[in-house]
Amino acid sequence: MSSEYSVELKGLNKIYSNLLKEDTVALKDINLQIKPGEFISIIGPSGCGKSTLLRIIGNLDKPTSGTISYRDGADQQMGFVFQDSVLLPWKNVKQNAEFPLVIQKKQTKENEEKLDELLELAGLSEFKTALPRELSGGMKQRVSIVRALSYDAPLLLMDEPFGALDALTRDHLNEELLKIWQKTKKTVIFVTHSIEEATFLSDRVIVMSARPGQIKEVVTIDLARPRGDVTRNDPRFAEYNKYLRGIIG
Amino acid sequence: MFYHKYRKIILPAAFLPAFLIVWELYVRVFHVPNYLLPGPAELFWSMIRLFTGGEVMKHIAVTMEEILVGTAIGIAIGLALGYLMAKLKLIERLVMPFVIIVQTAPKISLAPLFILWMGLGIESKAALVILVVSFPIMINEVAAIRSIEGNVYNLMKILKARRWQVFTKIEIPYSIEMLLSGIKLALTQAMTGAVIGEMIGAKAGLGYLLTLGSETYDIKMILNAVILLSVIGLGLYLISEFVERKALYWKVLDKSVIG
Repeated sequence: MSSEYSVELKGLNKIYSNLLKEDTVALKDINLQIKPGEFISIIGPSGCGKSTLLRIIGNLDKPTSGTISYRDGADQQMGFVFQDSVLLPWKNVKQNAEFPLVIQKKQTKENEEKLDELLELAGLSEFKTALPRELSGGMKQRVSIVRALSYDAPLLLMDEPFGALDALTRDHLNEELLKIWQKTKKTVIFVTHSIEEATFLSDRVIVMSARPGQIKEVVTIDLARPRGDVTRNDPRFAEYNKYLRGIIG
Repeated sequence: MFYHKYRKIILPAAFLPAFLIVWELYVRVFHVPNYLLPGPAELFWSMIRLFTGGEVMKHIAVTMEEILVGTAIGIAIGLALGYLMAKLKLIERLVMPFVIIVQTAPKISLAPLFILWMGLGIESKAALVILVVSFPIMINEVAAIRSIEGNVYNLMKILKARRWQVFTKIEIPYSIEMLLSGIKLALTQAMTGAVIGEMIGAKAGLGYLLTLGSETYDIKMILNAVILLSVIGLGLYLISEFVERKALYWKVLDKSVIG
């Protein structure tokens, strides 16, 4: 099914059945429409099903009921950034980043040039031949992001990609991610447990509640772009954070 | 400076002559009869005679053939079985109990059986080596495939990779890693398998020389066979370590036991 939206979720439920206990309702009646080029964050307490929702959008998990439609139909190309970078340890930075091109047999000259640009944009040009074990956590995650972008999928799913990084690296990577997003015009769905991160990055923040995992509120973040240090010092930034913290409870 | 750089070689190289001199003196001073323990000089000349006689090369070749052929086939069988077991739960359920039973018995104890079935030629010894090598390789292959993170498979799914791409790009590299880290151990065990097989029943090989030496009270032959086996073992170890270092360039490897 194709849709005018980048992704459209209708009446999505995910129930884990268990013979001994009561069924666990991980997701209940999720309805969501994401416009092309939007930056969406999903936030909520742990166990609210935000990662499950992302995995269902990424086709890594099946919903119990409900429908998902993508703009490009059933074989929608997407990129996925995991919390751990999932780099192949025997491949260097360049080889890891171009791995999708190899798998999808898209190693054209044009794509290779684009990949070089992305590596440049992510500040990895000087580390092309470095092996994953030589990289810091932040660097690994940059490679992982470049890899997810390398085959130019219009939809980018990110599952707490900076969750394991320290606060400074995280802030820095958030700004870089926005730069890359602005340049590549992807639709991004970003799962996080950091309120500040969600506010800083997103056009809209989806707040979920736990047991059952439901959408509690959708908050539109009306802060000027491009965002940077100025945004963080904006009193409205603090207000949004306060408001979101209030809903999550 | 020179000493510090090469101390790993200099120290043992200085110790060896000292050891040999003490040995020679011990044999001469206490008049140890040479059918109990020959001096190093006498042993050295007997080794030279062994090589100039020409016979010994045949024995070395036989033992090497058993080790190499057996290890190669053992690795192939171990990898294939291990992969199937890791991938298909049914096969694992069928086979695993028997694997554990055979694993707990010393595999060497099957040597007399193989010699009865396959005779005194290299087949029976190669079979023993196959048995000794394939089990640890199989167990490690199961562990290697199982150790691949779920998200690696998820990544391949996101990339819409085909099944054979998952096999060639992910599963084979992970298996090679396991194989190379396990091959040193496998070769050591292969040598034990081959030599014990030869000692129980063979017409040639270094293990056969050991038995022959012991039956004819020829201590020099025993010692020479032991020395040759050590040299072969060391050679195989160094070669496999070299290959491991080259192939697993991307991994931080443990320091070598020897130099």
